[in-house]
Amino acid sequence: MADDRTPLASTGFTGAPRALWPALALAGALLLVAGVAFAGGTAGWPNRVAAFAAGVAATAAVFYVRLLAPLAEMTTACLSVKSEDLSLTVPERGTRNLRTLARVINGMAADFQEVLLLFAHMARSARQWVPLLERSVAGSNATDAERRMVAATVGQIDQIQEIISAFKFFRVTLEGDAIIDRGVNPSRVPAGAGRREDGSGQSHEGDRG
Amino acid sequence: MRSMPEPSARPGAPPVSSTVLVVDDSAYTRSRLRRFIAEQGWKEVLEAADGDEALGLYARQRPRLVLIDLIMRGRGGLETARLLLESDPDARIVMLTVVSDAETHARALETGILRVVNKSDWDALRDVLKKELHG
Repeated sequence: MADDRTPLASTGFTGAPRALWPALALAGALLLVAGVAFAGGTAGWPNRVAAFAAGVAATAAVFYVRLLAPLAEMTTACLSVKSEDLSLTVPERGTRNLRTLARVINGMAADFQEVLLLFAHMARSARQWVPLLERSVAGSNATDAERRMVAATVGQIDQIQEIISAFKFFRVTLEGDAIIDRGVNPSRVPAGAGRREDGSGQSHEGDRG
Repeated sequence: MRSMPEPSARPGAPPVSSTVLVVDDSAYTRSRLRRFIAEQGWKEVLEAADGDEALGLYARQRPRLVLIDLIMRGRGGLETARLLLESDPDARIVMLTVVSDAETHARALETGILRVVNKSDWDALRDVLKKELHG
């Protein structure tokens, strides 16, 4: 199965949210106190500074792995959706609440994609009737109102397709009127894109039925 | 971390006569399918949000029919179907998708599933559900 995720490193996230810096500082200070208490009166300043540095580093590492990195991934995914990109998947890691949040974000992206692709399919099906509609109003018997109505309908179908085609989907590509699974056809550029294919909205049956 | 799927279906356990398992990462779609399937006379509809959950549910509940979304995050529909058929070669699986290219449909049928049904083709899905329930 092809991994369709966009590497998070390429998305531009560069650091921890500023709101969490005070928490990091507080944790470091607490560890400093613990380190001093541990070292007792016998430890010199170098040992105390080393204990403080180790405490800050350990705390920062834990915070990063458990909190900051998952939050960064979720932030990136949400910003991607805002930018019409539904292809990202947030890994479910970190604390339990963060895993739940990741699942919710992935679920919302899946729902959004589902609805958009259903609209894409419906628009595609409707588009197949356009030539017939246009022919029906091309004759002299059609009124101007009927011609305008058909033109407006065709225009709305085109607009729906244009809106949906701006999105980047998880594992799916829109090529003209075709909806392609990149997992099966990773480099496919359909010659008949924009035209009806064998699989266009039809259901196919296997030999076990 | 989600629990790993159980390795295989319970040996010898009879399939539940009127249970469908719906596998889809979209809660919206699961909800629509649940209502539609219930309208066709099936008594129980199980839901799984991903392939791993589906494999575990199938092993425990042995539903009569499985409807799997092709495009899912995590374990995809084809891989889930393949694993289900490895654990139970008699599993009756229908793939649901909005993908329209024939190659993908053919690849899905090669795994041994019964049928590929377009998600907006409610008539085809109704036929499948009635045939599987009464057949």
